[in-house]
Amino acid sequence: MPLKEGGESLPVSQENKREFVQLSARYRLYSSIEKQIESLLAGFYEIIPKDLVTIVRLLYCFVYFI
Amino acid sequence: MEEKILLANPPQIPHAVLRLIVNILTIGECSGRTFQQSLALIQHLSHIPDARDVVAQELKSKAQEFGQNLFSDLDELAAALQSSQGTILVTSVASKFSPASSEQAKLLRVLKTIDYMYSPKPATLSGPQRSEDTEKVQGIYESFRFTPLWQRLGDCLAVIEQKPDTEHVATVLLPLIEALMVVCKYVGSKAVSAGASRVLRASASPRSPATPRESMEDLFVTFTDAHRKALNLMVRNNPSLMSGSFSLLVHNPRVLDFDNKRNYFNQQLHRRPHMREHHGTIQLNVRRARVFEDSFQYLQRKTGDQIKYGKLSVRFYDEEGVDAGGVTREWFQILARQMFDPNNALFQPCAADKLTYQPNKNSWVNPEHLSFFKFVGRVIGKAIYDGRLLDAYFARSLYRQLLGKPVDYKDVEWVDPEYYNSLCWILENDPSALDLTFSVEADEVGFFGMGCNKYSNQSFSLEETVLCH
Repeated sequence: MPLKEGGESLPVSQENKREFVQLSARYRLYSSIEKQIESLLAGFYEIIPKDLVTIVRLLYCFVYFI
Repeated sequence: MEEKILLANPPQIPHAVLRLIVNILTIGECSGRTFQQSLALIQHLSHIPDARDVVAQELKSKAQEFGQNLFSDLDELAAALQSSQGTILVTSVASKFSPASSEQAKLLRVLKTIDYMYSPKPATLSGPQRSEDTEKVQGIYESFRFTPLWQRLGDCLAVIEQKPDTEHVATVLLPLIEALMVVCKYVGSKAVSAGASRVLRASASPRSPATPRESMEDLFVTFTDAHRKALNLMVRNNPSLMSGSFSLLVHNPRVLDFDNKRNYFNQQLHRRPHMREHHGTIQLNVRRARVFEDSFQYLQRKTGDQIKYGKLSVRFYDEEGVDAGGVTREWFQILARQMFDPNNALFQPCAADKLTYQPNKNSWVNPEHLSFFKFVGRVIGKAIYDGRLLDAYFARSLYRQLLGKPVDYKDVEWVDPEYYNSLCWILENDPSALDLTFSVEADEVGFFGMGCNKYSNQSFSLEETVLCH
């Protein structure tokens, strides 16, 4: 699986290693489970508007209800 | 049509007379009702050619005048605050700022009027006109050259913050702080990133000449950063501020404390702009052992809004009991447990703690997996909306994605410490000798079941996660 177009033939060097790290992390945390994550997000944003979430950057799932 | 005929022969009102309107706002007190009516009056008159510009010009010069007076008043206040004379002197100087006829109250009224005149009214203005208005009003705000005034205000607040016994004086200055928020209104969204890039630029070449707009952005970021404490106190004492001009504060994510952010979030989340449609009750009948599947089957037929606004009422089969809240609470608990059930193959826990979960890349073995993930997203949202406990913890990277933030390589450590270590090694050393290419072997990604040992004793809630950023 190439991390970017033509990635299989692009060697990782001292110069481009930051990009490689970033892309690998993205693959591990997102691309490999993209469909799952996007489906979950779609359901979530139906209830909590996306722009509110991103602007406040705050969520709390775990409010104990007394 | 009627409007067109009227506008063909607009009434002639001499400019000198138009300017008099502003006096309603600037002479003495002005009750909320009077203020509202004056705004409406100005709005109506604005249909006459030139009228809006004439009034705006008058407002502008008044604002300028009040700004100058306030500058010297603040000087006096700063001196009083700094003197060791104690509270008596401060109180007497501060009393100048309190009444509804004070200079700062007048300034705020004038600025709010300008803001109102140029704010887009729903369904009246088209796009180009709207952005033209934004440009105009920004131009007016920039022309004030109020920077010294805001700096003086900042000085006063700085002294106040160091003397706990003068804390109440900060509240007295509220109208002036609100005035600052009004003139910074259009700085908002771009402010933080712009501010950050400015910092970088400034360190590269000191004192790069800034445009008025840039310096207003700087002003907003520096002011709100510097006076976080006072601002938070004000918002805490008066949460409704956040539905007005103070809402600008969310554009600088560093400013608001968690409780204030949460209040704002709830305020906005539960605000219903549309007419109160009745969404009724969501009556769920589920088998205790199959809560997840039964609820999924039933809620799949509902729209997002039905789930969001509907009142949950849960019944377990073959069990007595009316849901007065307790059964719903139990439903959330069981749901949180069952959605991580390994038999569903939807999520995988971090091996060590079994507490934080990440979507399972092999979830496709469950043919309906994507619908299930959507369902889980809805349940998380519903729990937040209803203020319920959802005893489910996810990997930090998933929270980031919920917040619309980009992936950070450091989050790999949560999911796969070994892989993270190799990424770190690459960053610290020269990877050329490893013969790596920009590709991964699809099967090699076995990071879900592994690791997370470092965090075995930690579970992170969204709130903790987000507060750290």
